Amino acid sequence: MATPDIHEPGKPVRAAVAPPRLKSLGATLALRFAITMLAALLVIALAAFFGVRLTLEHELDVALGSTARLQAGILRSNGRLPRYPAELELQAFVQEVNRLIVVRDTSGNILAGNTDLALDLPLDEPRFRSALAGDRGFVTASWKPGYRLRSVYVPLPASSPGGGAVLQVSASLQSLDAESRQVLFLMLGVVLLGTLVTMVGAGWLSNSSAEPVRVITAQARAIDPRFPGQRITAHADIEEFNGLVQVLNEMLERLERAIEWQRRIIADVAHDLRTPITAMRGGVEIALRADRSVEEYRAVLRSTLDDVERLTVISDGVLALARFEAGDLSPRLEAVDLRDVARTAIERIQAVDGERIYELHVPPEPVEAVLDPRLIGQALDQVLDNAMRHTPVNTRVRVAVGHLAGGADVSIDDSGPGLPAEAFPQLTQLFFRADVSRSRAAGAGLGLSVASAILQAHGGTLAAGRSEMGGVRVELRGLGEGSEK
Amino acid sequence: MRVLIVEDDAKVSSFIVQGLSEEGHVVEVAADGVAGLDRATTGDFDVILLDCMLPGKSGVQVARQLRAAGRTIPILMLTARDGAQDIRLGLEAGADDYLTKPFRFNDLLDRLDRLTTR
Repeated sequence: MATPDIHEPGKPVRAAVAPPRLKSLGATLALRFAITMLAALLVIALAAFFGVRLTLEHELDVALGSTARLQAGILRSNGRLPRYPAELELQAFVQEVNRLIVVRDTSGNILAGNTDLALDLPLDEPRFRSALAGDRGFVTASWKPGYRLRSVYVPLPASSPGGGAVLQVSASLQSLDAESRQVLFLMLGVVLLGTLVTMVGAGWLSNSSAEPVRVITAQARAIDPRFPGQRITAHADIEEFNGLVQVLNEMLERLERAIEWQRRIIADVAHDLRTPITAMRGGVEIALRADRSVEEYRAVLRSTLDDVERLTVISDGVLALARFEAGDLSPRLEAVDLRDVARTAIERIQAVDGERIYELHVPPEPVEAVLDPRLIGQALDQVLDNAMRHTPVNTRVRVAVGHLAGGADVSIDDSGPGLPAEAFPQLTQLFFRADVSRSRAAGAGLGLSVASAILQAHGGTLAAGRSEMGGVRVELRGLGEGSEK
Repeated sequence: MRVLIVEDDAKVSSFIVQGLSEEGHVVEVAADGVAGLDRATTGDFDVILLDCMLPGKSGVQVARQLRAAGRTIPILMLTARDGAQDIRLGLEAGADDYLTKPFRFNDLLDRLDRLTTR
């Protein structure tokens, strides 16, 4: 037996899902920028280091060369090398003099040195040979542990006193290595510091560039849908954010229009429902207050049935509007004679209303159109119903069909009291979904909204204005050319 | 009592007429604001039942013009919207009370009684 699924109060049914960790654009940008900067600084530092190193080495070579020339000259003149006291230790000698000079014979044996410490200097065979052949040569070689030597081999003239053939001048690379190591550390320090500073700077920069987004977000969040007309104003003057702010504001406007439209529809529905419900309720209540004849009861039932008809029209209208809003009001198109559509609509209103004069003006030839006759019939019903409810008895309502002046396909004129002049500019555009926010005052009721929705679903429009008959003129437009939609 | 009903919807006015007549009142109907104002000015009534939404001249305008003309006759507004705006406008225009559609007939009788026995 399965365990019953009991939900304990206070215990969440589903485990709360942790919100995804958000990546920070600022931190990412700062990090990337810092990495880029680090790489660039490293390249620069290494280049500088090797540059310095090469320069130092070159300078040492130049110095060694000139020392060699100098010593060769001295040798030539007196046949001897200057000698340093033997008690100096190698380290001290290197630090103070750093020139180890030896004279070699043709087989490489050391004949003399400027110090006893130099008497075991290593011999570089290739440079020695080329020096014997008369070419000067530089070489770097290891000596004792911790000592690397840079040496130059220069040829001595054959007539050299003491029988020397090659002069070797060597210098320890200790100090050069130390200097270039210092340069390297300095450079690495600069790289590290530079990267740190870059990171902080980039963080600040990206933070400040994202700040407007935060402000815009805060403003957008503070907007209350119950109070229309609120707009985002922050940073709209900055080129990069102007587009975002504009798009958000346009979206707000569209949402407001949609909300306003729905509010009005709900108000209209509530309003339109009241009259038939009032009549039904009153009729039944009065009928029940006393004993009536069968004929009187029949009259009440008939009247109630009429009201139920009206309620049906209203609910059909609401349904059509809901479908239109959902984008689901799709006309089932067929080729029809618009005259027939208008004629049957007039017949329907005449069946309900015998107190007004309904006229139909049609051309002798068929008015062909491709449309959904049921939906367009419903639109006409709504417009005629509207005319009926807003005009006194014994007045005329005229329906005209054909290619009318101004491009209308069908017009409905009444000779009622009409609407105040200021209502017309609003009323004309009232039915466009986009302009409903301007239409509050018109009080056109649900019917015209339904008719307008049906026309728009056909690619047409509903327009209204003052009628030459004194009342209101409603036009159905765009049924001919827009019907292929 | 004598009641003037200014109401454009024939079905609504007819049941009110029937109900009030059966209660022994004398009732007259005007179907729009212009006729209503005319009858209210020229006729002799104890109370006016005035619909808010009327073709031609709104109930609010009728009430305002009646009061401007110095008529103190009690006015009961009938409104199809219970929006505070409509009610405020009606009361400011000089209506004494209001009733929202749809209403119970007994409520209508109570209001009319209260207005005429002040």
